[in-house]
Amino acid sequence: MKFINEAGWDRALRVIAGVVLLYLGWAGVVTGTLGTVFKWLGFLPLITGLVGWCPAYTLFGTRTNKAPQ
Amino acid sequence: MNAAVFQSRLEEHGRPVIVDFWAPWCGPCRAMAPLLADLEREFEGRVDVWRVNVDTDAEAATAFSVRVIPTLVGVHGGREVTRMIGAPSRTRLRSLFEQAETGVAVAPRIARRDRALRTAAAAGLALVGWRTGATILYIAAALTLLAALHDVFLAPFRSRR
Repeated sequence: MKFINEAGWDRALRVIAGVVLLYLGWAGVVTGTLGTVFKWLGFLPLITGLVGWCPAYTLFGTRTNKAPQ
Repeated sequence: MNAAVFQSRLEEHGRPVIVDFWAPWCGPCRAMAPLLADLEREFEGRVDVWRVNVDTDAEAATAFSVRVIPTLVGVHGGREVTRMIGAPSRTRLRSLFEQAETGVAVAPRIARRDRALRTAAAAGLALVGWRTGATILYIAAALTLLAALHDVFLAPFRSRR
């Protein structure tokens, strides 16, 4: 589907990064302002990874997945 | 071509038909053409492909309520079984041919890879939620699991199968 602009590896990486950020934030491994940022910012790669669509890619006119074949 | 004539030709045609509504100025239509031709060869003798230029056969397009191109309509026994809007992937296009051939519309499902990714993410979120005791992560895990198990949920984000 053209809507999806992330490749499989990109999506997996985002989901992993999201879960790691959320863990670092919510588990208190990282505290302070950065910890709070991680707590909420972790949802961003997680959601974009699960959905397969990155708004930034659209903004810059790029994509990591190949066009439908 | 007159809409009624087009419809009667479809009904009289012995084989299932994929009607490809296209136009020469439509980039995605041109990009999809080789793939369509490829599957046309694969389904030769079982499913026919009729190409309708919406510029010259506007009536036929109107009869099928085509407002966007490319639109592919799967017809079996003169009746529309399924349709796809936009340039589909090879898998989805093959599914369209199969649906037209059998006359049975198949509900779209999320990709197996998507299902696996969502399930893994839900497990990860639940694990992090359990380790940290953060309720919001349990909620996120539940929503992600729902998205993994339910084919209709997040339907606009369906990807290739």
